[in-house]
Amino acid sequence: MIATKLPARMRWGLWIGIILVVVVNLFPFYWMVLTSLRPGTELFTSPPQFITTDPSLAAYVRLLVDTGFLTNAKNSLIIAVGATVLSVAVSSLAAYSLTRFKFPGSKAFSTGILYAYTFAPIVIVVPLYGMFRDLGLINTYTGMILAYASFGVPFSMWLLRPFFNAIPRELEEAAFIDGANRIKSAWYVVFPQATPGIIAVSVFTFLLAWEDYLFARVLITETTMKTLPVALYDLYNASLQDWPLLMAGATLVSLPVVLAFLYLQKYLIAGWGAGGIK
Amino acid sequence: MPRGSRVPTSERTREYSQRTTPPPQKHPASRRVPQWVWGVLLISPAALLVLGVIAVPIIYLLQLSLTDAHAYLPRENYVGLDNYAELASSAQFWDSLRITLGYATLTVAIQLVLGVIVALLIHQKFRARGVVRLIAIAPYMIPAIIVALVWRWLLEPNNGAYSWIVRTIIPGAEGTNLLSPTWIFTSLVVVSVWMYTPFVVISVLARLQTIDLSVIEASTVDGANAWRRFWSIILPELRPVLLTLVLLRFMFMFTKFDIVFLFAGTGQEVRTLPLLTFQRIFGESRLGPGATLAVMMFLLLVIFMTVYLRTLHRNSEETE
Repeated sequence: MIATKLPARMRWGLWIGIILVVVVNLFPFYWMVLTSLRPGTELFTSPPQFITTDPSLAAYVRLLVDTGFLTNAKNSLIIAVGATVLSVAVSSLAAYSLTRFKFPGSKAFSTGILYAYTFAPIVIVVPLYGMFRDLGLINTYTGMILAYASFGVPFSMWLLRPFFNAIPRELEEAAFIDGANRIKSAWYVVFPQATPGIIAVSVFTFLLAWEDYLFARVLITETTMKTLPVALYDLYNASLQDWPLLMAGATLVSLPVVLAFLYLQKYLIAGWGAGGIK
Repeated sequence: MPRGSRVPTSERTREYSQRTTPPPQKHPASRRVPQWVWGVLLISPAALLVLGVIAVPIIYLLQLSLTDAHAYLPRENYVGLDNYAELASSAQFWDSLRITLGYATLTVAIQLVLGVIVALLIHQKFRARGVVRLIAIAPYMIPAIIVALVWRWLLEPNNGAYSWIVRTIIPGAEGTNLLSPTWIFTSLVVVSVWMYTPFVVISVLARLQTIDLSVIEASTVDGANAWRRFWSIILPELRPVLLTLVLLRFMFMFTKFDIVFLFAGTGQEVRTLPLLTFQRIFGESRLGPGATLAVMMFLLLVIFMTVYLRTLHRNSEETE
């Protein structure tokens, strides 16, 4: 049954199963894009039409012109990029430290990091709201970046450690002999070798911040500071549901995610997402 | 996780990493600054972030749970264990706990069964396998807000594509509103399973790829049929990863906020503990009692996590 030749009868079963998985997983995405391209007249027909004969970009135009979508996109981008840079910088240093040095507490730190998974967002967001309120960090990029970055750190460190571990110490020692100091050898020898891991972790952290709803909902109250997920939900909650508009927004928000996903596929299939963030 | 990643570790590097201090004459830099200072220095930003935004808030949370703090006004009086006593005697809390356990158990069970089936399916050799694998894990990557909106539109009673299919295919389902209080919990379970099964698929697939093929081929020669082979060879091989998945998935589903809130709203049929917490604080402005609920979830999570780490430890001993 595992990767061996199947008899013809089972071959059929296999293909039915595969087609089922493909249809079930893809149809919602198809429906999302289709709805976003529909002219309003096609929307309320029964039975629903499964193709469109007259695609239109009207919903996208309305989204970009009539709503604050671009402002929200800017907020999302600043926060996600900021959190990614901070988290990846900090966790690369930490992963380097854990793989190169022994110091009091290094072992405890490694195990402690695993416990970070117990800190579910809903548990952390409650006290964080109280603290941010008292510190004036509500409605600030700084606050959001700090929050997402620290959620990314434990996960990123775990994923980066094996990458740093795999870099031969001989390489570094060669640099030492050539007269490089530790900082130089780390910068020119170690980090370039760990680049594939660093890129993958960056994409994961970016997605973590890009996709989050809860933290953004609680720690942002001003309309002009809202991120895309919060803005989309509020658009949905507005009295009349304009489905082409909502689906246009959904399509645009999914776009970077789909690109990241295509980039990350090899890591995902190697079983990387497991133990992941959500 | 390191388990699944395929970073080659040569014997040589492993030997080096176990050495406590490298030979000093080879490290001119380390003669000036002791090794541990570097170690501590480099790890401190990460430690500060994690402590500042995760550990400190937990302590503050415990403290908040003993007060009557208001969500918006600067009011905070110590009330001792009053919040906990109120919680224990509140029917709403026990209802919510029951719904949370039901939601987590149901979704995890279905995810596991479907996840193993799909993983076995796409582990076979067939044309376009790479693309199908991507499609099989796609729902997991999409933001919860998108999943929630698209599914609300698919299930919309008048014009939704899926609600139309359900109404047409199932006799007697004409007037069914899948988003109504009667059906919302079921719909939520379906959507959650759709979204999170890929997580199981990824993990199981990674494990399947490491199973020694010769064992399976030997059993084929012995004439074991596919079902027997699954039951007596593959399933035992998957046992550790399935155990891990049960615990991890349960923890994640137990504290799931976004998809529940965004897709199903705050009706009492779907008011899990995370939603009840959110409602206490931002609906009723009662930060103190909300914090108490968060503490309860935190304690349950710590228990799960301890069990999880124990099992992980035991499993790694078994395989070594």
